[in-house]
Amino acid sequence: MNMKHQSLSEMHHLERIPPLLEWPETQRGLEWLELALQTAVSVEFSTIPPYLSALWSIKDQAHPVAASIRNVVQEEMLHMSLACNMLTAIGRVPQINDPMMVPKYPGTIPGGVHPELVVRLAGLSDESLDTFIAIEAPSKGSHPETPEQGKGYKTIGAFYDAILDEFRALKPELSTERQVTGPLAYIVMADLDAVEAAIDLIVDQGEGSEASPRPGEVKRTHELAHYYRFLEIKHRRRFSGFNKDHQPTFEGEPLDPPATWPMAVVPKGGYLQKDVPADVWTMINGADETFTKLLDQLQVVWEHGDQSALVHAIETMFGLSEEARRLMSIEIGKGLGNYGPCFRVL
Amino acid sequence: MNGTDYAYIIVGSGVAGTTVATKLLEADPNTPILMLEAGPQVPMKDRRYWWDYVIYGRKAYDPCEDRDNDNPSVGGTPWHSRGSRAIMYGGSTVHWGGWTMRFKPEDFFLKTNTGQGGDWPYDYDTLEPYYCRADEYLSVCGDDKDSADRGVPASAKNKNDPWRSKPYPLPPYPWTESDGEMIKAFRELGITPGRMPLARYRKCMATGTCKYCPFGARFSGSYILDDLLSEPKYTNLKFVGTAPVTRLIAESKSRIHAVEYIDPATGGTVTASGDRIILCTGAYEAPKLLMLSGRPYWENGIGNDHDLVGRFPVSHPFLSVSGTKDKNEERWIQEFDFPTLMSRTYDTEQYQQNGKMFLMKTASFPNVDIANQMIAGKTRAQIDEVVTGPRQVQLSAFMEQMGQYSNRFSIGEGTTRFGLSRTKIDFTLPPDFQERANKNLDLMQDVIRQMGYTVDSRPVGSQDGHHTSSTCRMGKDPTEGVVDADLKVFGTSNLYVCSNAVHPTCAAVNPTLTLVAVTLKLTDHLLANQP
Amino acid sequence: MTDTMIGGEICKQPLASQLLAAEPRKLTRAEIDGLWRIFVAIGTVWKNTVYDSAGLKSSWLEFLTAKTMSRPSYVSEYVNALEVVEELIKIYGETEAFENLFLDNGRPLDNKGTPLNKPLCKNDIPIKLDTRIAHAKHFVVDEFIRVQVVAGGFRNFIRPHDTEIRPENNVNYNGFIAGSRFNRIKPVRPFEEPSK
Repeated sequence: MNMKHQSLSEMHHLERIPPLLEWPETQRGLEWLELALQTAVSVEFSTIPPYLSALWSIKDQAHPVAASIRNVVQEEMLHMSLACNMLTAIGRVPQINDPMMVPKYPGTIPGGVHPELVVRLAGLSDESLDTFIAIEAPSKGSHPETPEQGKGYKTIGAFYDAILDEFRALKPELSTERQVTGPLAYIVMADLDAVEAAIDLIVDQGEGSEASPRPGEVKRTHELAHYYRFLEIKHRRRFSGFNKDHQPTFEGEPLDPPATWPMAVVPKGGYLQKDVPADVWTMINGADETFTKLLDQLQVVWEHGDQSALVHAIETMFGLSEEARRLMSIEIGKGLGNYGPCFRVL
Repeated sequence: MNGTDYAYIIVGSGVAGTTVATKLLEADPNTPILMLEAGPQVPMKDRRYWWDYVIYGRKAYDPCEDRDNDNPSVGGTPWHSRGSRAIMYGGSTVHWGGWTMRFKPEDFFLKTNTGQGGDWPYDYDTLEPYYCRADEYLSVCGDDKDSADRGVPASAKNKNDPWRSKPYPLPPYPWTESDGEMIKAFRELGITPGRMPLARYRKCMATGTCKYCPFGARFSGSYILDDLLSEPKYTNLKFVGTAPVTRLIAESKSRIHAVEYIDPATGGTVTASGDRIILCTGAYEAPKLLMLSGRPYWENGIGNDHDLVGRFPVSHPFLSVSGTKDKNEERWIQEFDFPTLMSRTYDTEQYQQNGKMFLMKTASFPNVDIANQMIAGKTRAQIDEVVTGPRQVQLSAFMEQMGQYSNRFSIGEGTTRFGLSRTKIDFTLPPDFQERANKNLDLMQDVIRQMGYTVDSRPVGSQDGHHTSSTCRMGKDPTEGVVDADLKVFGTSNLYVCSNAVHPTCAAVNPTLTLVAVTLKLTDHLLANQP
Repeated sequence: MTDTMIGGEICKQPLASQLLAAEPRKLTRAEIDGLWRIFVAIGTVWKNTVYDSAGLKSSWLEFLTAKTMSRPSYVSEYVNALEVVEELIKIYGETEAFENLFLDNGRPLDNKGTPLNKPLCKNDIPIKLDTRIAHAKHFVVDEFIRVQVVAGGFRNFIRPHDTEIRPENNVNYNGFIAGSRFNRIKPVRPFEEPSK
């Protein structure tokens, strides 16, 4: 497929970004890298609303399961920011608030990563955990709970490996203009070493590298990769090292499931005004407005290299959590569960 | 409403005023409320102001704070009001540090226990459920494990906090590495180290600029007021800023039916009537407003037939002991903008007679202002020597003060730039104060020495107005206080005071958490007893 | 030590001591690059940036925007500083120019012959600033120093042996956005209970 004459904005609809990992290596180049990095931004971003829905559905936010998922979300935000820094480093502007680029739910992950998975906005459940485990599954090794793996398997880790390979092959000039730093983006891509460090961090935190956790070594939750964290929650027990077949085991301390609001799966397109009571609609629309404002603020960050917009965005996100949790405490009725935020851009 | 303009007139837009309005409007969004604030509004979370704060220490609301000549001190002990209050939209929680401790059970019976000060008309257990609601409202981060069991004094089991029926909303801030020496010394001396309870939302990003937090992570009355004024449902809420209230108007002895304020647009006076009037004006302003209002029904001012208005003012003398050590090899510097280590071991019944004290390790020691060294032109080598060189540490304390009849806040001459009358402060420390303070300083000095530091100073700070309380204190009857247990001014049917002024005691800790608890109790009372 | 003022005619030109008046406007590319050179020199002279100042640039740019696009605008001070620095570099070469400007080597910056080495005062005590070079030092250099330290430059003074920024080697400083305490990485050096 000849992408030379299509810009990111021309691509616009997220679901039409071709499966980048199927692109022959010899035909990649700077435009492939731009598309791949924008896809990386979108991929990281696409995990955040479902993870937040699961997190915020937990009634006691101090519960250890909530703390674990929160760390995952913080790291996904970090990954997204690092990907934005990388894209900015090669002179492009990450698209965050373009309504055509914002992920829709239920939907697939952008860019041909895990094409078999359907990701939904819902409260914490074993079903949502299965999806999260599959999203974070490592490329190397296998585990009975993740789908069929092997050569060419389309994982997020494989995707980043391809991006790093292309950076090494191209050695593009990197500009620190418009990159941002801060607790959510502490690596600036000043050179190739920084890019490599950032990608290692992203992969290590997400699926874990071969070295982490080391076989036989039990690590505390706050150092565990996302993949193992979600498995811990599903197993209701802490990770307890690898067995002789190099499979992770979960025979550690019990991890009791938290009480949650039964947030229903948000329907395709989100809740519509005609289908919900007026006061619920005010809240749903309010949450969508806050989400839209958040994306607008994030867009400004890398478009203008404006760190103050990042400060405002962080605050907006905390406001969104309050609105979302208020919604989650409201029953839809007829045994359909509770409402939840739709993460729509207005 | 009885032909009045408003159901409620709330004077003051600080934490008390905005909380009263919030609770009334949550119950009935159509409640007609007039809120009057003497001071201006100042932008919060503004990026330029934030950088000016980081570079120069200037805060956007500095012009709203008390200045030296605003409140003349005429008594035997100078009372310095500079910087004590923030007279503005949102009130003094705009500039507060957000340290949020509960009073302890004995603090409600100071007079019974020591013969001095006053007693509250109810006990800790009565206020306890409101403390829990206040903790939620202010988002207090504290250590559940440090709370006493019900019925067991905190001191019996080396706990710092009184008993609580609900856990803290958020976990406590951790002790820092540099707290370690003092924690060890505390333990060796039988002092229980505790974690400072703080009012911080989850969104705190540890910027160390709490006094002008860029994320709004430290509770401020201004955020509550922002929410109130932006809620479209509250159609009958009216707010007027830079509008000082100059007088309350009584239509009979018991009924105070209106307030008079200056219209900022015209400079003329406006009269507004209300079914209930609530003075949320802090401990300085309430006594003055009462004193200059009410004639001919009240000869000496509203609620002042027993000549108690303005009396018993108390605040917290600030004690500190500093010490120095030769080296700072660990290169410790200030990492949080608030103290994380505290102890209430000396804030217990046995210390009430002498004057309880609340201990905290001062946040700003040890510290090196590295930028200042660079600005002064020191080389890297010179700065490294300073960073690793002599290290100073400081232990501070608030000491409880007992209210005295002979001390009084009253009306001073002229007005301040806000259009409020000056406050004349007549305050003299009791003759045995220095001796009692020295006993406390001796205890503090023991800590510094135990840490292996050489003591270099142990001053008692000058009296200041930050925690001023008791000037319109609660009492069981009008011979003991100015307001009753429901904060209604004795002798009136519809006038309330809701501020630190009503606290009969100041305990050894910051008053705001207690004020919020008292305010929530008031709003329950108001809603249960609508006229 | 010498009692000769540093710089040439531009540096020594007298000026009133208050902030130079300016309208808010965006700085040009050339102006930003020139000011960036001053900022980077801070890290060079005090050797406190681990790789380079790139990690601090976004914070510094945000600061510049706040200082130039709102009142009172610093645009005139920045333009002045660029001309002062240019003259210093012409006379002394880049390395010595910045060392002379930043360090207290006894060389005075004002007309009275007294070294301008008073720390930036946090209580608004007025400082005599009656030359162009004194303005550049106080309103530009001193403020850039504080930004540099607060945005991350402090770290190397506290952990001088780190060769890269690793957030798990946490240390905080007032003004630095360290992050949430609910993060995996804690924002401050925490107290650890001694093992029994």
